[in-house]
Amino acid sequence: MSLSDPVRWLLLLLAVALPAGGDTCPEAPLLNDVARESGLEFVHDRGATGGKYNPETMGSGIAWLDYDGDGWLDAYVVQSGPFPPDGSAAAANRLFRNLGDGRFQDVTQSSGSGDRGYGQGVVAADVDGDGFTDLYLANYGADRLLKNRGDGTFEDVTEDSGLGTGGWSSSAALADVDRDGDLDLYLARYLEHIPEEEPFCANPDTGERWYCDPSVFEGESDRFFRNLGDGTFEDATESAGFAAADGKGMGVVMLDLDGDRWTDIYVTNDMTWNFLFINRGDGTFDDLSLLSGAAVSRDGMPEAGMGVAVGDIDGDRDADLAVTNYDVQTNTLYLNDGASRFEDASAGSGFGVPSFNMVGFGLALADFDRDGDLDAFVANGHTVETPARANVHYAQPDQLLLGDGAGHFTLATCLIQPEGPTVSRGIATADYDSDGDTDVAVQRSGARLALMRNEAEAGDWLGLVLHGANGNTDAIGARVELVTDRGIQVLWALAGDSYQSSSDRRLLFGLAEGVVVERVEVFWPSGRRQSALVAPVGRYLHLTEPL
Amino acid sequence: MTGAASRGEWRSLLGAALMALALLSSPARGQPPVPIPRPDLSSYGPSVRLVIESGLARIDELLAEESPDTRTLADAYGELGRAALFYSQTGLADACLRNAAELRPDDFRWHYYLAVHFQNERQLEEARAALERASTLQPGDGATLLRLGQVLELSGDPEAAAAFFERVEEAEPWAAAARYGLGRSAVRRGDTQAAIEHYEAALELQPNAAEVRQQLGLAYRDAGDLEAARAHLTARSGSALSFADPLVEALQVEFSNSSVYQGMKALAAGRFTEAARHYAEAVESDSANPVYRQALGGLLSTVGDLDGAVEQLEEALRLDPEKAMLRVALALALAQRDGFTDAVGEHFRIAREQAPGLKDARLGPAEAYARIGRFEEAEAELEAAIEEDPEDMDARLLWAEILLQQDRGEEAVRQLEIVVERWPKRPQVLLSYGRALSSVEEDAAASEVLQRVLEGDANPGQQSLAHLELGQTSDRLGNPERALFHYRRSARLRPESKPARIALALALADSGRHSEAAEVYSEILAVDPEDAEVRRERALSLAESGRLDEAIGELESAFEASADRQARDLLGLALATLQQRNGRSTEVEAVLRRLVEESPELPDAQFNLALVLGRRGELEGARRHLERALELDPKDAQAYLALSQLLAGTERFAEMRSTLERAHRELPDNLEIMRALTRLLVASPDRSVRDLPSALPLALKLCERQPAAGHSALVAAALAGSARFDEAVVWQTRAVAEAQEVGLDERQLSLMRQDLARYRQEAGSGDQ
Repeated sequence: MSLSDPVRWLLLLLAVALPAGGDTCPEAPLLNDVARESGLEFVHDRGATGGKYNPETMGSGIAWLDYDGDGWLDAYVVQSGPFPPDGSAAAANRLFRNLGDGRFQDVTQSSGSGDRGYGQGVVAADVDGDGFTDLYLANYGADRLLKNRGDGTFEDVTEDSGLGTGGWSSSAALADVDRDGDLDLYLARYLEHIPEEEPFCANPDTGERWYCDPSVFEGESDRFFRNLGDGTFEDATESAGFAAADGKGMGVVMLDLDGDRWTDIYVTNDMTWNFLFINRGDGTFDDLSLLSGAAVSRDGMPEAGMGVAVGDIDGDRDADLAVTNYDVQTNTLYLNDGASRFEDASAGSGFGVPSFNMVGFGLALADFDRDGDLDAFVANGHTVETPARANVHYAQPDQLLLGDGAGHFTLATCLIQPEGPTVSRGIATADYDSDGDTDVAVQRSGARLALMRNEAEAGDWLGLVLHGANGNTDAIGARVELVTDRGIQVLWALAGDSYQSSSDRRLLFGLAEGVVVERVEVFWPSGRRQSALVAPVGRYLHLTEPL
Repeated sequence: MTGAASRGEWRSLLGAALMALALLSSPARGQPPVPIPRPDLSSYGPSVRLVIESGLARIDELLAEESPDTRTLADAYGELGRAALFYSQTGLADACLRNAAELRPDDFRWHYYLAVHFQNERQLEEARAALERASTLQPGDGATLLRLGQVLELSGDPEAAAAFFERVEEAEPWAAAARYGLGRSAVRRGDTQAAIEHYEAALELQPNAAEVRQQLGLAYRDAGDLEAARAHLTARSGSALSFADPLVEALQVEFSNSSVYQGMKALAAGRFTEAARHYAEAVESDSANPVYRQALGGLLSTVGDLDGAVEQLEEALRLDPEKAMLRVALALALAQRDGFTDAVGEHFRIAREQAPGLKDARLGPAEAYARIGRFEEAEAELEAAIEEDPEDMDARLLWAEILLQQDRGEEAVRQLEIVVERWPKRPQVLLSYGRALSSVEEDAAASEVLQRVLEGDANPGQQSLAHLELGQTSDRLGNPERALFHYRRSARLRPESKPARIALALALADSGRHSEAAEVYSEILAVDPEDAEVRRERALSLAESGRLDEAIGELESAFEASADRQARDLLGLALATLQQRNGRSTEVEAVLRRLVEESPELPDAQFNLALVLGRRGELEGARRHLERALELDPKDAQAYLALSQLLAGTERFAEMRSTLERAHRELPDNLEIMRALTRLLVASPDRSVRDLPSALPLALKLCERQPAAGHSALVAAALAGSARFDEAVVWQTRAVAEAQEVGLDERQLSLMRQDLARYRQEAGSGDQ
């Protein structure tokens, strides 16, 4: 090679620059967008009119559920629509049935699931314990509970259920917090917003109107509804101890965070501190937000918490928390010591730094590359079209971070195809084609939805389908340990996580080459424990809770 | 290629590549090593544009030379890189600082600034490499070592980080940040106790550093001390941990435009003195820049330094004589200083010629008259303008503002009704109209108009003002909750606006929400930590919310830390007040003695110390301080009354009388003094002091000013003392009736009746 050859020069410089970029790519992309060819065609309408109404830039989410019980994961996509909301057909959510051959069919009309509220979030779970997955829709405006009749159709039972609060709901999650065998609802709500009173906010440099940041508004109080087991709910926000919490709720997860087998609640808030409510076991909760260390950044500052995901990131078998934030703040990784004491480990973990110029929303922790540890998929996109900082843009690339199982991540965005900037919001994971790897659907603000099919070939896998013995038929809240000759992996069954979204409730373990699985230990939400031997792998194993 | 062999080969290739790249791009050939981006500066202010554009021009000029001097070129890149770094033009900063460091590898500054840029952008590997290069050039530089520690810690290498922190932990300018870093490293080692010690040390050095408090709280939590953990974790503080960083600080000081930027920030926060200092720095750094002089002149005019303002604006006008707006500003300042002279009129005339459409030039004379209080002439100017052009809504708007200044709300409303009809959506018009309606107590209509401001395209400042005004109308309409809502909005829309936040804090305090008020005061302090008045208010709110010890602690720290005398006076007095409330009399006296010593001309300190001494029985000392207080303020009614009580306590009634008479001369309308003197003259235990003829007119005046049983009784007593018992009976009867009417207690009524009986008896004896 001649140093005077300018083309070779360029190649050489590129070659030496790549490793320094920290973006690790194997030979082929792992995640490819197949939305168009699969028929999962959906374009989000954020209703942007130029009035810069804040809700226009915040939605929306997606849920994976098997609504017709055929074993294939269907997609429920939340539409926002014209703003201010007008209830028109353009605002209708859409349900896409998975035909089992990689294609989807729009069944919104026949299923009766096309709610026309200004949609934000969704959570899918069997709310009434009849064995069919229902939908709770978190809207800007009245929320909705759609009961799955079990015949391929849904019925709006909001009024009878005692749910359907107004205001601005963002995300919802379901879990059995009182161990009475049914799912209770926590609703993260965002801002007190009146379209007619939308303030004028502007880019300080250009004076151009843009979306106001949340500090301009009062926060909307979160709500908690206790399931009475007869199809109705009671508002237990105050009696359970949530009334005093003053936040601007964005994302929520419900699971046991302190190892006492009672379901706790973690809520991300936008520019106010995040909440951690620890279940006392008597129907009430302790607000341990600040004491937990997971309320603010390590600098002691509240951040713009958006999405949230949980998983055992550092291999110590407890649930760690990952949170997406605004640009400059970086995303946050809170490592749990097992007793719900968290440490902000973002710096030095490789998780925070890549998000420095990003605004993160949807977030998923899953073993995308099937090497036995959790990776992170982060959906990015700014809230304002003309961000003030140099190097920060409205459309931003989504990111894939490969974990090492010990709390460290490496950026591998080039594993996502097509690469390139978009304005992403909610994401939900599912093995929609049941091929043993984690796919991900990405909602994009005012743009086409992406379905990123995972093409993982390395490693092996084991899927678990849990069947609860009581009204919690999906065993939401269960903790499953997979014992192998290399260690123990842990997953939790959740209903509602990421941002405004709800992922596949089946549990999918990736297995590195040569790993031998010994058994699974299931800690059912009822408190029961079950051990099962596993052979062979590479399949979905159905486990039913023993009575 | 695999393993170490491949890495070695890559290294050698990289080395060769970089060497060749350096040769290929040698400045001697006129090619910069890294092309510099040309940022779009259209949205930036003139001062920023000036610096960046002149920096770019300088580099272009050097590159156009046949063989530019490397050092000069490096400096040009470096200077522009620094400006870009300051203004977050990251692409430009990156290219310029890389080039500067490349061209001058022996110049510490460029490696350091490049490292700061990388650290800001979280490019930790690059930051570390640049810092290591900087460190080889200045091995002991504290800021470099500290940043190396920070970068390593952020990169997940706490042990290596700790080694750097240890090297600077003893040096005061970096000690807090170093102890914090060592605390982080100790946590990583699992040594919670050591972490607590480091964090405590850091917090002692920087008590408001949020990250230190957060980590200290978590460390206490991990150590099992939940009480201490909660105390730290719930104490929300907003400051970032800081350390001495001369080169970064120099960015703010050295760039004249950064001074303007800082000045604007200070101005927005209402810190005029600080703003003036920054603007003066800007002018000093570039005395030929009319923009800087105009900014400084405008500010000086605002703060009342009219000589200074005129000087700056005249010089600015000399530099840029075609700028009509500058001429208007000068004319206004001159009018305020010298009155409406011919020179002022001439400036306005030229400005109108230069910019016929410029509203400020057209209406400038009216504004100038208004500013100097010659409202009649101002109105005449505006009337003439409107007669010439009845559609001149600007003139009507200004007229309305002038009418509002004179409390002529009705007339302002009439003018504004015309303007609103023409400009029904303009936020500024609606704001004025709302204020005018509010001034004539048309609160409902004012609310409706101000709501329209919020519904339109008002900018955040206008919306904030509308909310502020709405808060006041809501208050007047008896809706404190609604008022609070508006004050909150006002403050949120303009977080930098002190009036909005202060209105909010006051409303919160008024509604008994002292904790929240304290939070709002904290937010103001986060922006302007030097505002002693706000700090005092915060402490008082804390005290009201039951956090008296915390309030005292904060005031003690602030008092000790403050070097400004006025601030110390304010804080010290508040501290003494709270200590008094907490029963800490020794501390109260110590603080007051320090205040008296440091500020002997502070009447409040003298007065309070007198009271403390008086309570302790040190009456002579108390008297000395009260007399000193009266020397400082001869119209201090409280001091007169306290001194008279003290003299009464020592039975020095003659001195008491002369004190009260002096007080009455100084404050002839003060009822308390009048009452005290009358009582003394009527009923002094020392009969030689009594003076009933003098007491009677005083007592009558008291009754006239404030009819009351006690006052009528004093008249009666004075009359009786002069043997005018018939009249005394009348006045005492009146006193008894008044006492019964207000429900005076039976014992006092009984005494009054006894006096009445005595007067009647005396009156009867006289008859006989």
